[in-house]
Amino acid sequence: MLDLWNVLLSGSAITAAAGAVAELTLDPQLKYWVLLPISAVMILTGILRQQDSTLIAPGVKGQPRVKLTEAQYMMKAQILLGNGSNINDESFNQRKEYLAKTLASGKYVARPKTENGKEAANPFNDPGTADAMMSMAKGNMASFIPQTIIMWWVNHFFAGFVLMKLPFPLTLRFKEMLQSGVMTADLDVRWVSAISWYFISVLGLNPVFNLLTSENTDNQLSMMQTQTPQGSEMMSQPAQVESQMKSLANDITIAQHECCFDNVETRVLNMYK
Amino acid sequence: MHNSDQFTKQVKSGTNIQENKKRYETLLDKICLMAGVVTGILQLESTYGFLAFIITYLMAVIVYTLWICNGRPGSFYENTISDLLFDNFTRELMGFIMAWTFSFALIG
Repeated sequence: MLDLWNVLLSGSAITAAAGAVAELTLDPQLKYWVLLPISAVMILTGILRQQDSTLIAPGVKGQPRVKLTEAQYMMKAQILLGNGSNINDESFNQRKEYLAKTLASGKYVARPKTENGKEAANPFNDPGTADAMMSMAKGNMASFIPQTIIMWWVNHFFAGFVLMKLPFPLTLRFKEMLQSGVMTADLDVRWVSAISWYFISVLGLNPVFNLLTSENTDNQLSMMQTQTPQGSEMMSQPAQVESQMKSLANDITIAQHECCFDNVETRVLNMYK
Repeated sequence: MHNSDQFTKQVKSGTNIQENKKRYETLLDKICLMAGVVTGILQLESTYGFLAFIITYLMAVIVYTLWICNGRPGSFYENTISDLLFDNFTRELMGFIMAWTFSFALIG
């Protein structure tokens, strides 16, 4: 390490004297004992974090039947509004009448059982909300703690020497950040310390994680897709749901129906003209 | 008068578009990381390195559009230009810089 310091100091002296970019000779051992270990630790920590987030993710929870019925009736109304054009007038009107009546009456609103007219539970004491907030906090911690630890590790063990030369030039503003711990005022900004490799890795490792753990992220994506409707329903209160149902009933009552089978022959003929 | 536009419009599946985007992203990840490693091995510096990235990225987009999408990317994506050209640009550039820096330092 002492030799390295000599090389470094002489290199910087040459740079200062010549006033031009000088080539430093770095100890090749730096690659094997600093560059590779930092890279390996960053990749392994990233993979571990992804596995960890899968482990601490909340599992799929069961819902009471009334909640499901409520959600499904609302979904049914939305689907009728969105895809109603695929059925004929008669079918549409039948569904429209039934859903408008049912939703306006609030028949399927899931009301929590209250004892002797007691007030409904505070939404902030709801276990579902608390669980969701807790899992969010855990997720944040799982990504924040490893980053802090690695940064401390790099700063503590690999500070005070030049690790590598960047293949692209940088402005002088980066000098303080990328050459932290290297006390050479005239050294070119392209010669950087270990902490800059850490920053480059943090910014550029996303594609590597995607390639290494693509199966996991696919699973997570599909899990998220299945969980989202339940999560949003968990937050809603009966009063809110009732007003949503009433507005849906209004929408359905005034919905204009236009069947896709009207003039279908003309459209098909137009397509093949 | 019946409004036929609503029914003649092509219907797209959101799930499939998501899947297409994911696959395209993975493909670009592979290409740009490899291009970064090659650029580092060739010891290209500054402008030449970034030029290598731009050329690789544009070539990947063009080849993907013409070969894999059969010249009709509109059938597989919603906003073709942003989905294929701009959405992944920063991410791939960062990946490329990392791979480039790594192999440049390792070989040099």
